[in-house]
Amino acid sequence: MRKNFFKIAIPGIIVGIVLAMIITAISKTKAAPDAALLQPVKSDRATPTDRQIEAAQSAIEKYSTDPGGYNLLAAAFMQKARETGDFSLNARAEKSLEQSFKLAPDNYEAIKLQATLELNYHRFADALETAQRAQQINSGDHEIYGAMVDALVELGEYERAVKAAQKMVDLRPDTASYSRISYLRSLHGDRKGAIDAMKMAADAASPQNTESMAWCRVHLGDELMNDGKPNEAEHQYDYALYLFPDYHPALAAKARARYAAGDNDNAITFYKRAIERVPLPDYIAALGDLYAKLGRADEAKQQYDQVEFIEKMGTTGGTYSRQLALFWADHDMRLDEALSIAENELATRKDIYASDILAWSLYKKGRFDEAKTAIDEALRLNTRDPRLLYHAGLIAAANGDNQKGAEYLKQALDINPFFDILQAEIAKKKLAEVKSK
Amino acid sequence: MWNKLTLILFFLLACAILTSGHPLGNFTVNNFTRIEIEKNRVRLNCVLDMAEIPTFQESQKIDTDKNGLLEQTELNNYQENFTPQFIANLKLLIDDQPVRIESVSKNILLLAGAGNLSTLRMEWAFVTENFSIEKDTVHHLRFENNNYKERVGWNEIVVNRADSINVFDSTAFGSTLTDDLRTYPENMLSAPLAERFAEFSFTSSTIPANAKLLQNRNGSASTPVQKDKFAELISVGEITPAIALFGLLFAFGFGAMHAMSPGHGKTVVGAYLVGSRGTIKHAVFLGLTVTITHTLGVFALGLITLFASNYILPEKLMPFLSFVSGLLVLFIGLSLFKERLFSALGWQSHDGHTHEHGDHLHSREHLADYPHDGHDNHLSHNHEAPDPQTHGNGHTHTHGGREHTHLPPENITWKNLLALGISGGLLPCPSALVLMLSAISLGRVGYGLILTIVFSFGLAATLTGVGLIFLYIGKAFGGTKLADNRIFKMLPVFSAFIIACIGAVICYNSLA
Repeated sequence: MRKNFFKIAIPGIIVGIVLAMIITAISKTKAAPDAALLQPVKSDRATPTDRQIEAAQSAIEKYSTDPGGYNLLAAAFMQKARETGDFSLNARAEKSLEQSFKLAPDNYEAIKLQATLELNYHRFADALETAQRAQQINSGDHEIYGAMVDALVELGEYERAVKAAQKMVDLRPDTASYSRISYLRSLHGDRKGAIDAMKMAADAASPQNTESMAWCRVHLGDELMNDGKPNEAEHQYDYALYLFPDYHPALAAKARARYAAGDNDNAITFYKRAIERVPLPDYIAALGDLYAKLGRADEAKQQYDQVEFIEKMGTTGGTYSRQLALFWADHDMRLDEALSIAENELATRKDIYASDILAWSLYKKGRFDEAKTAIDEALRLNTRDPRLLYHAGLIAAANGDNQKGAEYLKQALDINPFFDILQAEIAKKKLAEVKSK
Repeated sequence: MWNKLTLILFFLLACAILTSGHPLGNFTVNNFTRIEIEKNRVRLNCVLDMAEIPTFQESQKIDTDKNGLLEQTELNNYQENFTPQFIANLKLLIDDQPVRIESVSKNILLLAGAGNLSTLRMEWAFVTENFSIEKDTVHHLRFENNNYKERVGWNEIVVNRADSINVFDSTAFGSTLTDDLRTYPENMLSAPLAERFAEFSFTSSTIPANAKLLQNRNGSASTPVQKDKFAELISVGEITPAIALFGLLFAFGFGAMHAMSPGHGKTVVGAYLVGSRGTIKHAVFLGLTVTITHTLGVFALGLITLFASNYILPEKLMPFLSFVSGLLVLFIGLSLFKERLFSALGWQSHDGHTHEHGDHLHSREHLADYPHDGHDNHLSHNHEAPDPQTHGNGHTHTHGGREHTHLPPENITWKNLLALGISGGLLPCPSALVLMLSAISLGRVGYGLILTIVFSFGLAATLTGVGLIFLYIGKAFGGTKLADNRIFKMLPVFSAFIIACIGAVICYNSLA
């Protein structure tokens, strides 16, 4: 009895234990996280874009072979990136488009979105090519002209840009086309025309897309600010914030308006609020400048350190290199790097702002002759941008032309005496200096 | 071949340890809250995980002595100062009444992020005051986390419950998608979670008809959480001698209980001792090895967590340690299997070994006598056994003129025992680790140390006990006349095979 018991029991127990361990091992294997349901909690906080993302995801789930869901998702992610300033959402849009192209390699919607994505990544030449490809498929769609105008403007092909914008507004006069007309008029020095067009753009904006409405208001405000109407400008910024609370470009614009009104405390608060939402180098540099002007050197330095840190992180996918070059040149830091960025920019894009950055870095390096050639190129459209004129004024004075220098500097300060926190001060000093000569 | 393979595996593991990152931009601030409904209070476990840019921004505030380094004291001060503001942005309402919470533990650490830059992780445990959850009443809880609500990031809320509580009609789920913000899902087509608000009902009775029980994200029902009672031993208010004594007893008990949970190689110990006719002395030695290894393991991992958390996450080290211990067991199993198989088949493959391990022979002979000394006390010993020959498990005799032993002579070596003991204790128990870390953060290092050692002793006691039980069963078995049975002869071989299997399973588990 006993013999038999042990004969069976011991190997039996051991085999049982091994089996149990193997079963636990297998059952412990976790399911992939992607398999988890991603049902976001329904909340009042969800913006229309959040709901669009949800709708796109359920469309993908239901109609898995239709590229439409992926296109919708890509568009929603890009819209979300615009709203939040989170550049990395573009990578999600890119993945969605990849899926869409897998299902239908030549689908028009995806090509159109691809052009927008390339614009977001500052791949302007690619964007132009993609937009042209889309245009060949459907030449009657005004939307594709939008991407084309943007690409042409950024590449410095202004004549073609104007033609494309005219075609666009002829096809359909809406926010997208009016806002581009406004920008082109502004570039060509037609301030009043720019303001009119942007007002039309703002009025035509769909109430469905509050971000788009707010965007128009901010840009209208900027044009008004450069037209010597700071109060009207601030009203537009407030309106933008009312339409789209905590919209970061509007917060930063409001900070500029508060600074122009001499209200430094609130200017700081609004810059901080903008940075809280999205720490863009522009906003942080401006806050640093404000601290510097108020003699708070430690805090200014902290902001400047952050600007460099963020650029080092590559958060914005290199799309901020131009602003960084300007930041360095403005603050007399890393001038060699600023110059090399400017040269690289001009190698791929021939727009007036690339010429301006080059002129400004050359000026800071003491190469005044070359700076003059570059700034003349930057002023070729007769743009009434105070920053361009300020650069032109300093370069003219450095080349010995005090009269021209004074003229440019006066123009810059007439357009907007608060165009930049620190640079406007330098402009005033320099103007007094050259006038006395 | 094995060396190469292990090298490759180590390399892969190292890669796995080094990669981590935020799926969104590196300016995100991510929030996580685990709401736990305990028997008589609500606990909130909150995590705030900052990506590289906000970490840099905050580091300017943290570095109060402006030396460019973020010392632990600076970090602790920062969290201390930040906590009231953090609490102010949490809203907790039970039955529409705002509820006060207080912080019971805090933790702040810098982790390695992209490009050797740091990310900041802060953790808190908050509790409400005690209240009673009476039968047949339903409570309603609403929670909102408004910390860094302007900033883009993952926001996750998870609800857990104690055994006796039912949670239903919940807007939140019972499981986490991000492992408490440690790993972010890589599915690029999904939007990040945006859970800043949660509400649900809970009761200690059965839930009303039509109510929906708390679910996990994959649709399964959420199971109650088991509290880590051991780690809570350290956070008592004041340590009086009575509490200390109670704590020590508890620690021992926890250690003993903990060893019962799977994954401590009890079967390995048992199989080894049975297969090799070990003695009490072996079992005790094994127990001591486990105690020492486990205690040292907890200290080492605790120190790594404290000082090297910038580079390595302790959680990431766990699978690695588990893998190493599995590998150890696998190698022991394989080598034993080979030797025993040859031995059982009558091949003298271990000729060389007897010379090599010559110094072990003495102790083995001595140990082989050991059961005789005390065998009268052994319950399972068969006094009626007619053949005294079976008492001497280690000795040799002859069958048909050919001298041999039934028992593979190489089996018990101190080296194997040591390796086995190390493998049993190498993987520190998470509770013990948490206890040690809380002890350090509470400045109760000495008490924490003692508790950990006692815990390890408890652990070892169970392992030794299990070993002894196996031993006695084996002995009772060996005490019969079965020694010549074919199955019995193959038993050591089989047990070696099992050891190898278990080693493989542990390795597999650690990689999964």
